Amino acid sequence: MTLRAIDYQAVLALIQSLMQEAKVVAPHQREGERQWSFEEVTEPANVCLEYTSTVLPPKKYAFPTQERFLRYELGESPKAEPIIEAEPLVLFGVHTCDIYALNCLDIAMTDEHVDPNWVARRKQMRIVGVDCLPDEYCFCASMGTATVHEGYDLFLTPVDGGYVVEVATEAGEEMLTNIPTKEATSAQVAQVKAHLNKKMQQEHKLDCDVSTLPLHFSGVADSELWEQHAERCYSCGTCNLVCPTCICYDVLEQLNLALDGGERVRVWDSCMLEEFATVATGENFREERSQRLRHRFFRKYSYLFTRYGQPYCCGCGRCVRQCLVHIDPVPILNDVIAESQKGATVRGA
Amino acid sequence: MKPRVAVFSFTGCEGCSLAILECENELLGVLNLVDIVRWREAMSETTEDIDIALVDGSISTHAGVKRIKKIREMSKLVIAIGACAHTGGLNAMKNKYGMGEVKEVVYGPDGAEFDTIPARPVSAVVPVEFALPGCPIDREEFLRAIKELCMGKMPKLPNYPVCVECKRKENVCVFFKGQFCMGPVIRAGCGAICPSFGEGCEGCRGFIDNPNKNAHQEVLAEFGLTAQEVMNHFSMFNSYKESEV
Ligand code: SF4
Ligand code: SF4
Ligand code: SF4
Ligand code: SF4
Ligand code: SF4
Repeated sequence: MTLRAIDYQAVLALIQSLMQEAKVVAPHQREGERQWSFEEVTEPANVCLEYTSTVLPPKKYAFPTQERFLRYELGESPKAEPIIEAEPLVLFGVHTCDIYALNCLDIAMTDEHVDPNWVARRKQMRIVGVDCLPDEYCFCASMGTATVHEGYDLFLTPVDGGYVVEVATEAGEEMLTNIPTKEATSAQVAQVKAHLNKKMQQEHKLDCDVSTLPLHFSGVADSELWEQHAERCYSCGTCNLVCPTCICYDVLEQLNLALDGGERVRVWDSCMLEEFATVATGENFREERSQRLRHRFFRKYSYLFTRYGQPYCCGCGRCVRQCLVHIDPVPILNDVIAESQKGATVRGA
Repeated sequence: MKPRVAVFSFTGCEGCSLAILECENELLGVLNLVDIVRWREAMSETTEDIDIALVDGSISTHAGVKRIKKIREMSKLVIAIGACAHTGGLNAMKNKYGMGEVKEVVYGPDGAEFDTIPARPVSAVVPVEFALPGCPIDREEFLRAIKELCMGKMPKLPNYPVCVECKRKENVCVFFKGQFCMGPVIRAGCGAICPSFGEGCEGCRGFIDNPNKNAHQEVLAEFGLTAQEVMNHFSMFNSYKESEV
């Protein structure tokens, strides 16, 4: 691992030089307090590297909110061709939680069915991470995602006067050609450690070690806790739609007006929506809000966790940050843990 | 045979039938799919053999009741288009006052002469096969519905709230900018156009099938609305109640 030091001016120069060869996207401040989003950089000085969380995760650049993926002609000799639109892209200023989430989706998107659109975009993507400090919703310390070890080319940690840069890949090395950097001093390396210590101080935390989380789900399927927590739920899907580890989509046919061809489009979907689990016969096997909330939690912290050996939640806190009725995964998970421990005591007695 | 389509207007601004004319680029394509056989906005012909009647406006006069019943008899399908026809729309706000009072306020002392009854959606008078919501209707949704009707399918509206489309557009939620919004309980399909322009949703498309109204009342109150203001937000486009007519 190479550690370099870079000052603010050089960071701007780095963004500028990346813009010469590719589209660069980075966090920008939005209207409203503490709201940011990833957008294409047109002016490096407008990039905001000190932010907590964007409305949508950078996942949108590998898996757009809405995307055409098949073009077809109907009629005598029907034809269909896939649409894969990918371009070289630099994601600049990505937090560890979001890098973790992209890594998670690399697994899920290539598991049984390889998603060619995802793969094509990820291949052309370079990532510059940046470290952050949590707000009251973040719980990356509990999820083990306050640090990541792969999935980026450069990683910046703020220190006095600039950043310490970890150069993780050859592509990262190349990005720094022509950018003035210095060797990181031992004082700066100490600041990197101090930054991480500070980041790990989080009040918003789980009552168990994350690795044991799936175990706690074995006895809680019928618990009343799901109803209690779902009472105020709108079934608005926001929590899924802002989530960096959600991958569900709905498929729409967009026929042209002549009705002789069209495009197949996918849009982000959400398992919290009332009709998500409605099958062709009209039957809905998750009719109640509480059933849908339970499903969302089982999926993230139990099924996928067990299947892939890691949680499909990065602790970014977007779901609760954007949920108007404050449905927060941390107290729900802590209720799950408490309930399962209670059950264990009863069973053990 | 192309379906024979007619357009009828009742009480409203006729903005929804105009919205159809505004599909400039697609209008020719639409005319390839259907025959427009009757339409006051655009032509003078009249016919009584209709496959699809598109009806905008709410029913708010005795004469209107008679006319919509006649249209129902002439048409295979009756499709309500726009908020007025779908929910009664803004027109139904007058229902909470007595009709005498309404006439007086709107037309002055001569008002008593006017034929006015509480405004109601088309479906309150005759059965409708489908309602296309919105004030005005959404162009894309209209075109999709026409295509589906031509393929012999009944169109289907999203049964999820405006927030879904709002999030897909990465709007900053207007609640976080000190504004109010009905989006969490209102049916999507407009592309969250109001929040996308920085305004809260006023609910012109009507409620989703199972809105969590209690939660939304609490949220509006939590963000600072008084009970009366909460009521106003709920009733702007959605005040029609059978009990009042
Ligand atoms: S969850 Fe952790 S990594 Fe993500 S923004 Fe918060 S502090 Fe940063
Ligand atoms: S938990 Fe919150 S964000 Fe998710 S569907 Fe329910 S109300 Fe919407
Ligand atoms: S469930 Fe919530 S905290 Fe976890 S990754 Fe998704 S949005 Fe972030
Ligand atoms: S602005 Fe309205 S529609 Fe958009 S997310 Fe907020 S509440 Fe939902
Ligand atoms: S955002 Fe609300 S008020 Fe605006 S068009 Fe859509 S449903 Fe109507």
